[in-house]
Parts: sequence; C-alpha cells; structure tokens
Amino acid sequence: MTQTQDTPLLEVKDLRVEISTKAGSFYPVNGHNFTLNKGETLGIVGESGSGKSMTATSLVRLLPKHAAKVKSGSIKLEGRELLDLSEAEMRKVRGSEIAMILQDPQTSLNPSFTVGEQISEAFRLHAPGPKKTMRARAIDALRKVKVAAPEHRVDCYPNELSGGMRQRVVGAIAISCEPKIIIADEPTTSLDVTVQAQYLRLLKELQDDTGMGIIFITHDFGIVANLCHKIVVMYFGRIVESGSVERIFANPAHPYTEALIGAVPKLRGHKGRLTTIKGQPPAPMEPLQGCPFAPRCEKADSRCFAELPPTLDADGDGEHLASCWRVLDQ
Amino acid sequence: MIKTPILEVENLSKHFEVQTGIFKRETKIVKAATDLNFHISEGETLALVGESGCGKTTTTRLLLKLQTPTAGRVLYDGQDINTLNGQGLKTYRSKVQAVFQDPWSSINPRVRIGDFIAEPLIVNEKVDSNEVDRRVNAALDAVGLRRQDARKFPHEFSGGQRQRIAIASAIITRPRLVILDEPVSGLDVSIRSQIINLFKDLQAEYALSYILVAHDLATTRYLADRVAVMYLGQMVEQGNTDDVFDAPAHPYTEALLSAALSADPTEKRTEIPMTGEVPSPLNPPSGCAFHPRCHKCIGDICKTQSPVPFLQDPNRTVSCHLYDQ
Repeated sequence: MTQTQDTPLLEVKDLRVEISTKAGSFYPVNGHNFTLNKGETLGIVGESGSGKSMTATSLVRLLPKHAAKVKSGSIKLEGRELLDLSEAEMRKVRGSEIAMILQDPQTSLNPSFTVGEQISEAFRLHAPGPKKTMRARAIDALRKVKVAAPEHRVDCYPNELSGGMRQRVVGAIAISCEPKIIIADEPTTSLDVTVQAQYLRLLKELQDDTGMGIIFITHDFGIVANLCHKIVVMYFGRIVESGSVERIFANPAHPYTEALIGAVPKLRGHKGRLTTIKGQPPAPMEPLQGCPFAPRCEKADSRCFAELPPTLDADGDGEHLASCWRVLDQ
Repeated sequence: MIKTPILEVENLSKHFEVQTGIFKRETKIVKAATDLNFHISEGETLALVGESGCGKTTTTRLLLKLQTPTAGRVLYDGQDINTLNGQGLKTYRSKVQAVFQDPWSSINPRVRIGDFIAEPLIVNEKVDSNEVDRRVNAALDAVGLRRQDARKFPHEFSGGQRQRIAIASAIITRPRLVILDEPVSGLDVSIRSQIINLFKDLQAEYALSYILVAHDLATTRYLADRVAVMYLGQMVEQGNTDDVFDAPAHPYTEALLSAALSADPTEKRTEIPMTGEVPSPLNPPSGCAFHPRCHKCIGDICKTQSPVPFLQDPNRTVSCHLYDQ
C-alpha cells in the first residue's frame, strides 16, 4: 500500500448539509472532517437515519435537489475543490473519478437494456469510441469483475442474471472508467455470505491493482473489521468517533461505538449477553442541548446534557478522535 | 441432556412441479426439500443455515403446515401433523408459532396491536374476553412493551418495537416451538441485540424451542444449540453448534463458514474460495449436489452417487463421500 501523505485522495473539511422542510431545517451531515488516501478503505458506520448515505451522496453532489444542499465546508479531490465545479465539470468527475455502487443491484440496473449497453454507457460519457470497441471494453470490464463467460453475459438482460452476478455488473460499471474512489453504499446487504465474500475479495483485488480508495457505507461490523483501514462512526448527523480499525475495535473512546461493537455477536468467543442501547435515536428536528447521544448513554453526566462535546484527541497523537467529554477525564 | 423431542421430522420431502419451455409444455420438478431428518427438543434452538434457495423457508413452511409434504412425516408429540384436523390442528397451530423477517409487512396496519396480538389466541383457543385482555397484557409485559400500547396502531411503532409486537403475538398462545425466519435481519444493530436478548430471555422463562433461519452466521452461532446445514434442498451436515463451527465436517459447511466475516479485526480467517454459484434447482448436478463447487471432491464417486448420511456420533451427521469407509 503506497500512500502519499501530503495530498490525500479525498479531503473533507467541516462539511455541512442542510435539509429544509416546511417544518424547519436540520443537518443530516454536520461538520464532517475526514480524509481518504490512495489505496485506503474507509468505513462509515452508523444506524439508519444517522446520515451515512447523505454523506455519500454529498461527496458526488447528488443530494436530492431542492430538499438538501451543502451549506458549508469543502470536499477536495486530490486538492481540487469539488464544490466549486460547475454541474458539467462535476458530471465528468462522477463515474470517471468517483464512482458509486448502490445497495440494491436489482434497482440500480435498467431492466430494458443489456448488461453490455449499460456498461458502455459509462464509456460513452467519459471515453467515447466506435461501437465495436465499446463492446470489447464492456466484455473486458466484465472479465475484470470475474463474471464467467463474459462474451455471452454481455448480451444478457439483468433479469437473466443472479443477484451476485448483477452486483458484479454494477461493480463493472463502477470500475469501467478506472475511478480513483469507489463509494459503496451497503453493497452486499442483499447477498448470501458466500457471494458477499467473493464480492468483497474482488473489490480488494481491484484496489490492490489500481490503488483506488474505497468508502464503505455499512452497518455490518464484519465488513468493517475485515476490510477497512479507518472508520468513521456517525450518530445523528455527526461523526462521533474516527480512527484506525485496530484502535477503535480495541479501545473505543465513544460510548456509542463501544455499545455498537458490543451489540454484535462474534463468530468465536463468549456467548455472554449482548450490549443494548436503550431508546431510539432522536428525531431529526428534535431540539437538542448537549450531546445527542446523552439520553441513551450509560455513562452520561450533567455536563453531557448541557454542552455539546467538541472533537477531542483520544490517544494524544491526532489519529483517533472522539466527540465525548469522557475523553478529557482519561 | 436427553430430552424428548417435541417435533420429529422423518424423511421429509417437498417437490414442486414447474412448467418450463415454450408454451410451458415441459414439466420439471424442483426438489425444494429432499429427505430431511431432524428433531427438536424442549428449550432447544435449532438453526437452519445455507445460501438462498437451499430450502430453509420451504422446510419451515412444511413445519407450519402451510404446505403439504410430497413424502415423509412431521411428528408432533409422536403424531403426524398431516393427519391432524379440527381441535387437534388448532392445538398444533397454537403450540407452533412463527416470527417473520419483516415487521413492516407481517403486521396488519389497520388493526390495533392489542387485537393483532390476541388474534392467534382467539382463533385457536376458547377463551373469554377477560382472559384475552389478561393474556395480551402478559404478552406485552414479556416483550417489554407498555400495556397502554395495545390501543395503538402499528404505524406508531419503530421497527424494533414492531418486531416485539410480532413476538408478543407469537407467544400469546404459550407455544412450545417458535419458528424464527430471519427475525433480526431487517433491524438496526443496536435494536438487533435487544431482540436477540429478548429471544434468549423468553426461551429461559418459558422453555421455548426455536427453529432459527438466519443468514448471519454470527447470530446463528450466538443463538443456536444445534445447526443443520442445507444445500440445494438437502441436509449436508447436522450437529451441535460449537462442534460444527469449530470443526466443520462437510466441505460445504467449511466453505460457508469460512466466508463469514467476524466483527473482530484481530480474528484472522482463511477463506476457502467456493467457485461459482448455487446451481439451479431445476437442473441439480448429478451425484452429490455440491460436487461442482467442492474443493475436496474425490472423483467419480462424487459425480455419480449421492452420499448417504453418516452418523459420526449420536449428535452429528454428515452426508459426504469423504466419510464413506
């Protein structure tokens, strides 16, 4: 793994996304800071409604129009500010530099076009050429994602393929233009464990070959523990903890992270009671004072309810950050 | 620990006829479940694991008597459930209940949850309205909902609470066996652990037996006492959970377990790559159904003969030619 420390592949600073509704507005992405280096995998974890997918869509500027917009902050791809690009320039970035793999291969493929046509669509936009070469390149892309008999599959319609195969096709579209970053939003939730393992292995191999950065949006701690280098834990639109996988699993600094890790049964090891988190996450527009996790936190004291904790350095080297007052007491 | 089984399944098979080809002239047979043998005792959890299409759901539907088997029997307290009718069948239905995957579609949105929870009781048992109220309250208490909630409608609840409602409805008839079909896969991590803990508590309190169908192997290992591994409608291995997970005997079990990701970065795993995908049940491979994907295939015998279950010890069976001698 080669990493150029000076300019990260992706640098997100103080990103805030606002959703305005008639009833008021709120921030599903509230002050995000993170970086992704070449060949690195970042996991964004959190429960439903924590703002994971909003974070992903804001990176490629595909937020739902009119409803949500980036309020402030910066997203830099190799030093270039994405928020300043025109829509036409941004369209060139999408697919060729940052590609996305969505959760459901069933709905992200168009049922009325063949697999080959859908893969060549990406080429047509970013690197046009004659029809014949497009087909050859589509076959090539299918071969890269290890679809068996690609010459035959290229003319298949999505309904003729199995779920795992379809997800590979979605993967083929994503990697077709050799992007620098792939954002995968829950890419394997609908797949069997065996197919999931094959698919994740494939992504890893592609990463080793091309040095692309991967952002995994997931609630599956298995994926995080096995594939990611860094994690960002989200709660209520905020990053509550970030750092390397090893450190966060061994020594979670935020009670929310700790509870999430304890809530997942392990394949091996103890069969003791699983940790639970009482209550529900707050509703988006609920007025809040203090730490948004405090009402559900086992370790909260009066300060937690009164004042929002800043992002604090948990290990003293700037590599492991957490937004929790308890960090100060350690 | 030898207990009398509540449910015994003997040579159970379910085959579906499917019309294929142009003008649907050709009839093919899908063997959704073939020659299954297992039992479940009181207070025990048996998990069915396998990839999609391996027949787990068909098996649970046969046990719930939602489908009639092509061959074989399901014995409840020694009696074949397909001979049950009238009151006998009602008793069976109230003693064997189910919780399904999706709490959004398994609950009728127009019915107050108190009525929803009471339904299995009213349908299957002769009880007066005071008794119904008492039992609904007891069920709500057991699953950790408030008694006032009985007056509310399903849309007023979150996913985790809805799953609790579904569980309350399943346990109100004081069943002996509850079939859990992917009971936590639609829930968030933090809610999932609450429901898993609830299953354990209810089991301890009422000596419930569970048949669990889950594709998450970590949850399976956590909840199940015994596992049965299925592949293309057949049971390839069966045994105590820890034995099977620690030392899988069948090459399929081995490959399946190696694909599971553990939520612990210090745990190293060596994945046994399985080539290809599950073959179509319309054209199952000859011999051992797993042989085209098997990393331990020993040659012609696997391709031509289907293996017979081998009893390794009283609790462990495996169907593989590796154990033929």
